[in-house]
Amino acid sequence: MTEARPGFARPDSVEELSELMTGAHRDGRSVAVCGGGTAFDDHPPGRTPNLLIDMGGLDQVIEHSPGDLILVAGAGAAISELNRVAGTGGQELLPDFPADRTDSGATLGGAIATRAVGPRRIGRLPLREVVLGVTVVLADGTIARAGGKVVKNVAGYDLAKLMTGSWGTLGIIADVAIRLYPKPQTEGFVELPGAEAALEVLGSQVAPSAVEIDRSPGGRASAVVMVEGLPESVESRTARMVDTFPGAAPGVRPSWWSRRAQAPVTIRASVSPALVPELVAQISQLEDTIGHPIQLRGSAMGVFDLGIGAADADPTIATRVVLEHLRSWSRRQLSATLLCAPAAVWDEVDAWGEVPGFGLMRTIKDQFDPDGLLSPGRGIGGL
Amino acid sequence: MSRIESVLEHIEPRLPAGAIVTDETERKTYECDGLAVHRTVPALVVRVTSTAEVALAVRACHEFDVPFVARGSGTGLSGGAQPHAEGVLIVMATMRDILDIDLIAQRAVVQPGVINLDLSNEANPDGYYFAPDPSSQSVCSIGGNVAENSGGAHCLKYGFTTNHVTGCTLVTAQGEIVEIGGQAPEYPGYDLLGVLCGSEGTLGIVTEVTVRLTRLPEAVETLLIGFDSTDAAGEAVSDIISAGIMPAAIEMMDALAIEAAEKAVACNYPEGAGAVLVVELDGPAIDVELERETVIARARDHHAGEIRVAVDDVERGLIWKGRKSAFAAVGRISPDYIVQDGVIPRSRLGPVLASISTIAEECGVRVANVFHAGDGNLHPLVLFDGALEGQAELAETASGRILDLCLSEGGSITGEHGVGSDKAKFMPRMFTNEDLDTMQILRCAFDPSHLSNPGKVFPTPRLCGEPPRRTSGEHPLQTAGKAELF
Ligand SMILES: Cc1cc2nc3c(=O)[nH]c(=O)nc-3n(C[C@H](O)[C@H](O)[C@H](O)COP(=O)(O)OP(=O)(O)OC[C@H]3O[C@@H](n4cnc5c(N)ncnc54)[C@H](O)[C@@H]3O)c2cc1C
Ligand SMILES: Cc1cc2nc3c(=O)[nH]c(=O)nc-3n(C[C@H](O)[C@H](O)[C@H](O)COP(=O)(O)OP(=O)(O)OC[C@H]3O[C@@H](n4cnc5c(N)ncnc54)[C@H](O)[C@@H]3O)c2cc1C
Repeated sequence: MTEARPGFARPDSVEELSELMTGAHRDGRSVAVCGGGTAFDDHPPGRTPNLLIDMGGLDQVIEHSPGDLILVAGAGAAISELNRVAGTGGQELLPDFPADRTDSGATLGGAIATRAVGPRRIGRLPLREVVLGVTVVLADGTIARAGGKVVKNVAGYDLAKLMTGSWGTLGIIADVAIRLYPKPQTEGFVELPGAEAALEVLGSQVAPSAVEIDRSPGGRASAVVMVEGLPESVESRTARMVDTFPGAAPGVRPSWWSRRAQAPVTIRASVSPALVPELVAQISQLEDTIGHPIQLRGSAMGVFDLGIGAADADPTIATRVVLEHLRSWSRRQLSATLLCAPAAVWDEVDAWGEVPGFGLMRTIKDQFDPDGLLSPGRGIGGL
Repeated sequence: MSRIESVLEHIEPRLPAGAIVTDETERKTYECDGLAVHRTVPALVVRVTSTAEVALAVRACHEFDVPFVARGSGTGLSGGAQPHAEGVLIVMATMRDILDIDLIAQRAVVQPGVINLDLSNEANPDGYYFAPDPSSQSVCSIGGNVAENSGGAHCLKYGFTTNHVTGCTLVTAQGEIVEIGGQAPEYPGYDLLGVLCGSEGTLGIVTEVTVRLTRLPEAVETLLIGFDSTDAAGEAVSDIISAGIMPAAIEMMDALAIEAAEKAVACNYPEGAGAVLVVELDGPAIDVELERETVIARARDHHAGEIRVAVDDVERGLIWKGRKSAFAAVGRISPDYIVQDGVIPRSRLGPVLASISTIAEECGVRVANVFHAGDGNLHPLVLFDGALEGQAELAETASGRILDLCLSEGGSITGEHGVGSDKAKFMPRMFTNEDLDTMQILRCAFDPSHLSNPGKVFPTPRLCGEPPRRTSGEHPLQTAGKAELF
């Protein structure tokens, strides 16, 4: 039933999007969405859909209310454009995107569908928490709204959270209400030696916005702390860190800031913060075991991307070994999944492991998309 | 044998003595939650002490098609824990152990009956606390917080319960035990925790919760600021937020609320003020100091009267005492009152408060306003005398019109008290049938037989097994260039 070449459509309104979906549903045609197309290498490639919907026509700023810290926009709106709009009110949204992503046109809908996160996850509420409301178009064309456009709201189920990180497999996000943040006046950076120090900063009174750990293949881990705020405060807090933590030194924004490790394979490891030093310490052992370099980067809060392998070698076995090793830790404390890999690797390794609550996720998928028409093969575990 | 008798027969031999309550007088003590107008005596009450016991009870309910309702501390204000007359009330308050506190991981694992404040008290000596702080925190349960996605005065900065839960154990409506999430910050797949938080007990029963603990701030400063009017106070709030400051809390009380609080707890708020703001700043000492100056300057721009800065915890306690006692305090100036809970965009505070007084006048009732001004979460208290003919109805009308007003401003019918049985009828005013059907799709995934807290949140539940289908779409989009190959 899969065609070699998908059809394309570019709806200009939610209603048009809904009509497209209704038609596809009636004909049993599968559908995928494209925002900026910058995350096509993430997650399994999925099957070629019958219809590919370009969200570019749904890019309007529907409402911007700086006094309420609210922005409502079409899901196809580019993050870079929305950041510009937010900037007019001295505010920002999803601020951690690497420039190459925003330059390539990453969209609001894509960011939400992939639950994009960046370094400042410590000082900010996570993305799922700032997505206040969504309009989604379901597999059968139904237009449904959930949440609202106010920062506080507990009326009904939080379907906006369900859509966040759903990779287009439950419905198409048509528009989004999102909470903005005041843009801090200044930022400062401090370099620290190693993961233990990073953890100490997390438990200190420095109130960092980000604590990132970076370890190049074969090297030692180092950490970089970011503080934000008024100039006097940033100065005082960076000075305090330099005085308090042995080996700490004033720094600048590193070139790798908010960039993922670049390697043939990326594994996402999410771990209880208490185990961060242990995870970091085990990387060199793992490198020895697999005979491939490993680049580790991520937040001291416990979310890391492990870049594995060199360009010229098949990383399949190395990937499998690393995943299996990480999964030997308790599931309550660690989850390891494949984030990005060549197509062959996806087929050869257990990309997801045992996902807590997977049975319920399966049922949710079956309820929302009983015919399996939405983004086939793009979700976790075949959802 | 009735269905409920079948359940009883099945679970009685398997539960410890005293767990099951059949005595009518004792069952009656559970007939309502904090919203006493909705009362139902449950057919059976089970006091559970473990996940296994919950699963046992729920499995029996599932087998014999009997509805069940979880109850935490019963402080909910929307009838969420109101029992079902032919159902089982499962009391979680007896699952009250803090199972683990791991300070390096900044996590705690608790049973759902643990009282919110007890967890903070346990973690405080080590410099940590549980951030969600509903005003009811000294009595409400963490399981109830999860079910209601509770917030508190400080959620403006720290987020709601959902932001502080990383894992839970769920007993599904079929009695299956499912572990979701854990201690790590994120898990792959759909955000099950995100939908469980705020689902008001309709997606199953949470029997264990892993929560984040938050570092106590280095400095806290609390200001009490008097204004001539709620308008001026509201504009000051907007200016403070526009200045890029994210206070931990900004609370407002109007003249009537101040009067009530004064009578009840002699909180000594500025005399003659038309409104007061309680502003709390927290964080690194230097930030708090800098922000305090900005807050004071912005307040003065709006002709603030007295500005009081608490110098220590005792003074801070006094400032908060007036605010925290406000709900109960209106009992001093009115025999009866309705606590309303609605949300508006913060920038609309002024006009909305003006419209609320018009509604009050038209309905012939008084309305006192106490609310979370920072996030636009209003708590109008509609005062009335139930002994007077027709007053209760007028108060109901005023209260309902206030919700319509919130909706017309693009807001919500509830910011923190939930929908429960009380506001289910308002859901169709906020959401279309399609919106509500879509929520039901989720419901069907968790609870196809509608046994978990039925009758709450949704006015007319849809039968599962037949996902809603649109019948339209006879003429698909075929406009050239829009939909190729179509
Ligand atoms: C700090 C940081 C670093 C990052 N580094 C990388 C990196 O190195 N590599 C990388 O690949 N990504 C990275 N990302 C993720 C990056 O954010 C995504 O590439 C981007 O968000 C995707 O947006 P897009 O519009 O290009 O989505 P697309 O690539 O167009 O779509 C991505 C997925 O989302 C779905 N989708 C898109 N729009 C919608 C919609 N409206 N409704 C439903 N589903 C939709 C699609 O079906 C698809 O499955 C990073 C993000 C951050 C914050
Ligand atoms: C004076 C006062 C002040 C208040 N202030 C605030 C406030 O500032 N912010 C705020 O958000 N709320 C506030 N509330 C409302 C209430 O305290 C909260 O909603 C609280 O979280 C309810 O907890 P509980 O344990 O009392 O739950 P209950 O009232 O027992 O139950 C509430 C709902 O949760 C469900 N439930 C309970 N336990 C579980 C479980 N383990 N698994 C699944 N479902 C469960 C019940 O079925 C019910 O639907 C206030 C209430 C009062 C009386």
